[in-house]
Amino acid sequence: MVSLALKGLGAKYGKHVALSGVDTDVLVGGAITAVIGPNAAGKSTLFKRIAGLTSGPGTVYLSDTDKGPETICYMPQDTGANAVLTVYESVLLAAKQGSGWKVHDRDLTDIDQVLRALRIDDLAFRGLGELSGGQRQLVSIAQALVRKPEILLMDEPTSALDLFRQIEVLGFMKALAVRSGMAVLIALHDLNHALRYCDNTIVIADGKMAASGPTADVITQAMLRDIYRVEARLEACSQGKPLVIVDSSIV
Amino acid sequence: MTLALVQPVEAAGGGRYRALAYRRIVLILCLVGALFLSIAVDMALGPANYALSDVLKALFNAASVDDQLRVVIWDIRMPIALMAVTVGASLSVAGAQMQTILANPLASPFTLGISAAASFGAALGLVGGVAIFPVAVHYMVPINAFLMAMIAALFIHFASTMRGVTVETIVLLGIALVFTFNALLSLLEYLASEQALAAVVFWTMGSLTKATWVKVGVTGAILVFAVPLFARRAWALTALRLGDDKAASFGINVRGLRLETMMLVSLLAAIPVSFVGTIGFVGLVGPHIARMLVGEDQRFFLPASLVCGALLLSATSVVSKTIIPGAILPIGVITALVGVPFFFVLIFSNRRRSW
Repeated sequence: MVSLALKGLGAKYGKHVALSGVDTDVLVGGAITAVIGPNAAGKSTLFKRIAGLTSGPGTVYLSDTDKGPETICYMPQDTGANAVLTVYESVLLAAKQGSGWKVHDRDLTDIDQVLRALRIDDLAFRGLGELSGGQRQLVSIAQALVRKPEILLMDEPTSALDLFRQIEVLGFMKALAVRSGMAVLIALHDLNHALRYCDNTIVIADGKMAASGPTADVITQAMLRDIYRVEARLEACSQGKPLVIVDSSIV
Repeated sequence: MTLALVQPVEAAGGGRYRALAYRRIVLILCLVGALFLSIAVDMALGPANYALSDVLKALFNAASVDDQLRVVIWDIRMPIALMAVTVGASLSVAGAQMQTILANPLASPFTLGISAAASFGAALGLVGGVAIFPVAVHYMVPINAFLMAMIAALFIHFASTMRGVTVETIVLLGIALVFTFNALLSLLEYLASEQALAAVVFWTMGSLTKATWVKVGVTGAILVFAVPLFARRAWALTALRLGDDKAASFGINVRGLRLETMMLVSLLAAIPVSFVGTIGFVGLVGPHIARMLVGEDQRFFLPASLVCGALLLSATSVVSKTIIPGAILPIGVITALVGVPFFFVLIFSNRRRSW
């Protein structure tokens, strides 16, 4: 099963240092890691750096994979709304990058499977421009999954989804990670989702890593006060799982 | 790795996708058929009145017809008909890829200032006898036009390589180039003699009447060089339409792809303009018609743009000969008149899928 570890990872845009000092323990396949932090903290930059889309110091160590860095797939927040492409075509082109023109039956089977799994097969022949933001986000997830990555970096994949879809997608990703051995990193703003679905959590603030470890150890009252500037409590829900309840912001 | 947490499914969407792809191939083949028909009609028309059977005889059995007919068909009408095809195809493919890499529906050789630069280059030769590159007088005008077009294209190209320059900036730079070269052209026209002014005005209207086999060969060769390179990058070019971040996430070197495409587009746009003058409409509308017919998957969009551009200009060539019997009107003027009604019909019948 694939695993990765980040050592001294940073990123630069020109002379501007956007991220520095990200160190993690080994993040193993089959687990989900939340990447949390305030807006513009550097979460997307971390993903781009791991995927090799920006340069900077530090190393991404991969093990137990035959594929190398191309097995890492970064899923940006949105997919083009202006393109005159159907949902099906947009997923097909994600699957076929680097391949020849010919579309094989197995390509089509993969696309049908992933659209059905995300329950967007009814949208398959709708144009991207006709979709809502949430529907486009589901298409973006389909584009990432059809590439069959071993390491998937999802940048706020649930930000435009309704509550039902958020829970459905995160539950699906959790089950998929366990079943396939994929290592999944998800940037999230909803800390209750992180507590419920993510095994580990990395906290990014002001372009630096503030904490990293098992989610229950990282999301604490002190962290919420220091990083998010809110007074909050962690209480158990009716199912006994931890829940963040925010009382007030710290002005 | 299995993706689905549900039972394996039948490729229901796959079947529908295959049908859609098949329909698009048939559509492109129909366009090719229409193009051949248009070429045939184009060659049959002209000031000298020949029966269609004589034209066909001259085409397929040149030895059986008299010298005059052979010369008219092979040395005058066929270069013009084929020039319309190669120029239309080049400008349309150039426009299609400009619109793709700049993510802007208004991008075309005309709107980015390449045609305006060529007009200015041609006017330098026609008005002042200024050769940008010292060559035989006979080639001064097209070479001036080509060099100025390349300068404009390379300016756009290098501006796009600068850090922090967005596609919106590139389009604005193109518009600035249009105004700059149009102003310089107006200045030259103001200073020109009556005879030179007439020549400049005629050149800027665009005309296929100076077509030769050499010019057809050069524009055709550039197409044969560029189109396979675009075709090889079909998936990557299509992915650019999903946004730079998304394309990069697919492993595409977005910057490299954009630069490579811009270089090829520069050649495709500059050479035809230098030979036939300003023909603005094809590079803008050819790709839009193709997009509305087959979408933006480059495996269909690229050939459809090529054929739409060729067909549009070939049909225009036919119309330019038939409006006033015995006269050939400037093709740049007629292009818009032929294309606009068709374009309007497509826009209003296909609103949801257009850009």
